[in-house]
Amino acid sequence: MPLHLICCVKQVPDPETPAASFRVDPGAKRVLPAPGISPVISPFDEQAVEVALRIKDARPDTRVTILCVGGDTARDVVRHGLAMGADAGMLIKDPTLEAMDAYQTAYVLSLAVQRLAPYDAIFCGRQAADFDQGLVGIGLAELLGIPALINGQNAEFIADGTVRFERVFPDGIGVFEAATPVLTTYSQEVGQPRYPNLRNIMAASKKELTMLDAAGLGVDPAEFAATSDLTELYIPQVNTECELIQADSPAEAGALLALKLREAKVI
Amino acid sequence: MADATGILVIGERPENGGRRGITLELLGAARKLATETGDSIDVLLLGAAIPEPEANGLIEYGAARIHALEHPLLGEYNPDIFTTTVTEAVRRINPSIVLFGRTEMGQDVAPAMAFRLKTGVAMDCLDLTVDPASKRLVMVRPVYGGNARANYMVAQGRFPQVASVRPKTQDPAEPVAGHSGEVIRPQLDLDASVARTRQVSYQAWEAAEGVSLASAEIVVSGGRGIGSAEAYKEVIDGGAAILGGASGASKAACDAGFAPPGNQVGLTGQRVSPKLYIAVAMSGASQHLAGMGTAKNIVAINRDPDANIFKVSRFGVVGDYKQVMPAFLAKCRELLSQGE
Amino acid sequence: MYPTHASFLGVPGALLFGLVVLASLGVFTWALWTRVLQPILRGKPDYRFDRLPERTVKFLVYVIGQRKVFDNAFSGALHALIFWGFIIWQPFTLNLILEGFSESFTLAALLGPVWLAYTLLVEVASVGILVGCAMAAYRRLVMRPANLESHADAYLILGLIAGLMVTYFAAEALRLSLLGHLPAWYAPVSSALAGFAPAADVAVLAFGALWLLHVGILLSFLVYLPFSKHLHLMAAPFNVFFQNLETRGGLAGIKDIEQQERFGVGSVADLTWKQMLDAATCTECGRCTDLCPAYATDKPLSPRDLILDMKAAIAGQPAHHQRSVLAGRAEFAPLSAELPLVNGIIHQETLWACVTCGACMEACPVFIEHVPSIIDMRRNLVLEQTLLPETAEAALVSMERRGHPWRGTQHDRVSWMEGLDVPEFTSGDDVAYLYWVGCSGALEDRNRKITQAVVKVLQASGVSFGVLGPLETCTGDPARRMGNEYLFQMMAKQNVELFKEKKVKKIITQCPHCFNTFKNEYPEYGGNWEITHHSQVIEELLASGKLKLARPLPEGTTITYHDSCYLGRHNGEYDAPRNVVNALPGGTVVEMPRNREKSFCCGAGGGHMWMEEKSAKRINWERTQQALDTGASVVATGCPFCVLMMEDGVRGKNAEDQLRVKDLAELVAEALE
Repeated sequence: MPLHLICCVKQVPDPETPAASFRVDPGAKRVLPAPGISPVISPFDEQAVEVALRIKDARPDTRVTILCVGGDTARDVVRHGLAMGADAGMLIKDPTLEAMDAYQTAYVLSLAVQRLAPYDAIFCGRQAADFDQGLVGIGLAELLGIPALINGQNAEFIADGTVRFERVFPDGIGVFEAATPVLTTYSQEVGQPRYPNLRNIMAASKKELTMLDAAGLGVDPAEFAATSDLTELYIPQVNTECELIQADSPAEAGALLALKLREAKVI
Repeated sequence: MADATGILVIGERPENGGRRGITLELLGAARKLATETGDSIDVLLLGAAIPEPEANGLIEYGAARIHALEHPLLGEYNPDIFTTTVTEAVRRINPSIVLFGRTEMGQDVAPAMAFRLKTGVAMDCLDLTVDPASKRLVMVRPVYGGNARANYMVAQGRFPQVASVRPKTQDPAEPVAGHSGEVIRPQLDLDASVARTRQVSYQAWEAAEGVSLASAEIVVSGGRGIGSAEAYKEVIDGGAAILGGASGASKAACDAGFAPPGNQVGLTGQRVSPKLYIAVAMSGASQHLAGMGTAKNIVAINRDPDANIFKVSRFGVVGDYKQVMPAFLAKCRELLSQGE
Repeated sequence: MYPTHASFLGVPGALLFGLVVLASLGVFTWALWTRVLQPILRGKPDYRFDRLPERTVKFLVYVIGQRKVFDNAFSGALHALIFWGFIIWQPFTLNLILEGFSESFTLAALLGPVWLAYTLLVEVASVGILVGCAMAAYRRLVMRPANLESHADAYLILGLIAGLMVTYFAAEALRLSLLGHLPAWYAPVSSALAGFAPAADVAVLAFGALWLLHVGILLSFLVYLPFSKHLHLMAAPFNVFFQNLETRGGLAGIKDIEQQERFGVGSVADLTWKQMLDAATCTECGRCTDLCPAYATDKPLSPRDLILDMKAAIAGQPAHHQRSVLAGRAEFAPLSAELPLVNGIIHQETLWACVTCGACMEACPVFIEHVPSIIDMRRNLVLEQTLLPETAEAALVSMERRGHPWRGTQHDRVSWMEGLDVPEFTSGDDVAYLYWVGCSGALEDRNRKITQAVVKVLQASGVSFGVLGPLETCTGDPARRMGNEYLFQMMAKQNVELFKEKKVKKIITQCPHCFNTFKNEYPEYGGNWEITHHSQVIEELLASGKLKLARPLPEGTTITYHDSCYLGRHNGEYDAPRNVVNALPGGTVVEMPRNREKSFCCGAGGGHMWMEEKSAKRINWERTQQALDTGASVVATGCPFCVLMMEDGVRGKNAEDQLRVKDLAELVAEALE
């Protein structure tokens, strides 16, 4: 049986936006787009796509679908997944589906995944690079009633119906197995995602995406309720006053620094 | 669960891979909250066998009840089994607030439990406060790779309010003289079929010399300006050895091959909150700050007085690390040999 | 006298001789056709038939005049002696062949006294050729330049050439003695040798044998030529004629990229006819490899061997050049005919090692274009095979997403202006110059200081200029040089659009890479502006007196100027920066031994600013040592990358106390009152 893998991706403001360009609108509780810097696929999601494509590399009849909920520009991240080598893309776009919390996002994704069924595994980033929560992957698994394996560096199908998954712990790698369908999330240990070749980029730009809105997806207003509220968004005040050590030579400054640290009881 | 009351701390135990120290940190945070909400504090411990002194010993840190759940299946960590056990315990205890550490267990169990209970959860909190008006929990957490902070509250009417807290950000609870409490050992029915995933093997990293980054109280870290793998070994590894700390590195230093990738601190590396973080020849990119910005004391050594790292540092030396560090480390060695 | 005038078993010798000559010509033609002409005719198009008068001049200077060959005096002299002698010899050779058929239908018989005068010239040329051969042998056996490989091929050819001359002199001496024309004014050398001639009967036989030997050598040479490096005899004149007439810095784009089926050069079938001709032309002299900074620092790249491997692949006989020369520098796959050209016969690490400095092309006496071929192959690696170093990929991704390759920068494009009153470029109707800061100038810590210095200098001299600030993006240069032609074209089109909208007319850049791209590569996308590098602007401001430097350099300052490849070799600007350095009050100026055309790259070109250098030896350390060796206290340059690389080198060598690295603008700004 050919495998069907679903990759959930999110579009986020570029996490490498320099601090100088990073601005927040506290009233609207959102980040203002930095000039000249395009939003990107959340890096961990890109790594999840990479793992799915590695499985496809080994089993070329595998079908990889990119799934995304987002606004107008989110099309770009679906296309990025296609350019990397995925087969199909689905974009859920609806004004009522913006500014969702983790529960709502997982709920909407669970409806979309049910549309895309049957599937063998779902691939997500360990957390999105905007709100860094790490909730949606596990939440989606809970709503679908499937097991979740998180913080992975690789996964492979060892026998039909079994996934072997390498989870990264602070002091080592744990190897897990689970029966499909299973949800997996990935971390930077996956390594650099593949660079799309030009032919795939061109082909991706011509592929039709499946577009769905809230009604088309069958979002139930009773179910679609936030479980948490973002009450404030702000740039933290750094109130450290740096004490620069002055001395006649760099070496003396170094020695003086050691004395200061001892004085401050830090060493 | 509208009548939910109390704060439940999900303790961790080394027996099943838990993080040492987090239980007391969570208790410290809970006690701070309890002064505002007036709640009592419960602690949940899981394991195959939880010795009485261990459970009992937490009472003096301010816990009213220690729920010691014992079952052979809890002897080692499994996400499904722990999630099911914790969720059932939370249903039974019905607390207003549940606190996890943002540990390996916390990352699995806190979200899964919150979804099962259809309540809200905030991950990786740096600070927890109580909203004076509603008396509800305000969870402060870093977002956008540490570039911004966000305050979260669980939606009105939903309980419990679940937070996972970044390790080493909370002051551990101190013992309170004369505090009393009890240890409860409820009967636990647990079916192995709950576990849908199983761990088949574990490969520990090659034991790094000295202290691990995650637990180190002192981190000596090098940036791209270090210039070579040899210099990194000499100054950063050498410095960490003298100070009894761990070696860290910026992404740029790892990318350039100066430092092993496992040493990377930052947004896409490890997040550390040591007592002292010495940043050598690094600019202080926000991606790096995301991994170490919560260190108690940051010290920067950089040639460029405009380097961003100085903006977050307590002490700084503007100068070439090649001249500063040897003198600094020599002095440290001298001071350390003199003792306190 | 001529053995071919006799009959052998009733068959006329002339007939046999004619058959041998025809057979030799046949083999020669067949080999030339299959190995060279056919591939060239099948090559992809590359229009090189314009500007014929200019091409003719190049031909005269560089082929007939041997101008480039003389860049190396000794080998230039020996080559010229052999080459000119060879040209002079051509009618004489024809005459020798004709003599084989009949003594009455020869050029000598036809021209009489004119021929005799010509013979005198041949005598002189022949001595020259022998001297040339002796010098060549001396060079190979005694001088032994490092990158001159002495295969049997070289000695064989030298032997054949010398043999031709020796047999000529001996035969001519015998002929003159037999004819009794002694001493012949037109053949002084042969006449002198005639004194050693034996008795007539022996002399006749000896003459016949020597003539036969001479013609035999000649025909062997002809047959051997297409298989040897001496093919350049045939190919080089064409390669010189069809050389690139534009400034070397510009690379040609892939036309209609979105309609292409294949990208760049991945196999022999993707090469243009000119690239085929390049390969056929290589003389294996090794001058390119001698000057290659990548080769000098143990990278797996030797430009000569890259071209030779292309040549072998074109002939369908993959060869071992890189594998033997670069042993230990990269892991080459075992050689087989099935290997693809790119990432097979030519290792991908070879292609990534190039810093595009152009030293190879500058050195090449026959105008082979190494760098464009390397970039064509990188295009294939990136756009088709996506085989590129991780660090290169990170830079490309950053350009795509953030419009600059400086991943991890903490700055945006306006933060350098803090505290300075920098005017915005509103429109070319109001402001004379667009000052194009560039990614490095805006986003890289060290380079921001240069940007601020440039602004200070421009303001001090009252130049009307403005900057685009947040509207600036990368020119695309690193993308093009790292093989992502698609990304380059997108960025180029976007910038051209913006500049048109802003009515840009004149641009000042502080980065020679931006300068080169605007000047030489944007015209293809409709961008035609007056581009100046800040060194040129400052030179002009100093000359016109608008800029006055008052504060002298600190006592005892010695400056050496390091040429940026993209300002110097790629765009021919060697003087403006030197004039600026010379105008600084106080201080002395010294040159590094490798300067101007022969300058040694800092190691950052071709995208290497953002790539990891893997070998123990580093290009920038090497160049820094060259600067240190001059005893200078300041190394001045006009390129942000050079500044970073040299500073890194100075740090690496622990020489911060000896040598400071400064951009010209910084030195000028410091000298302002």
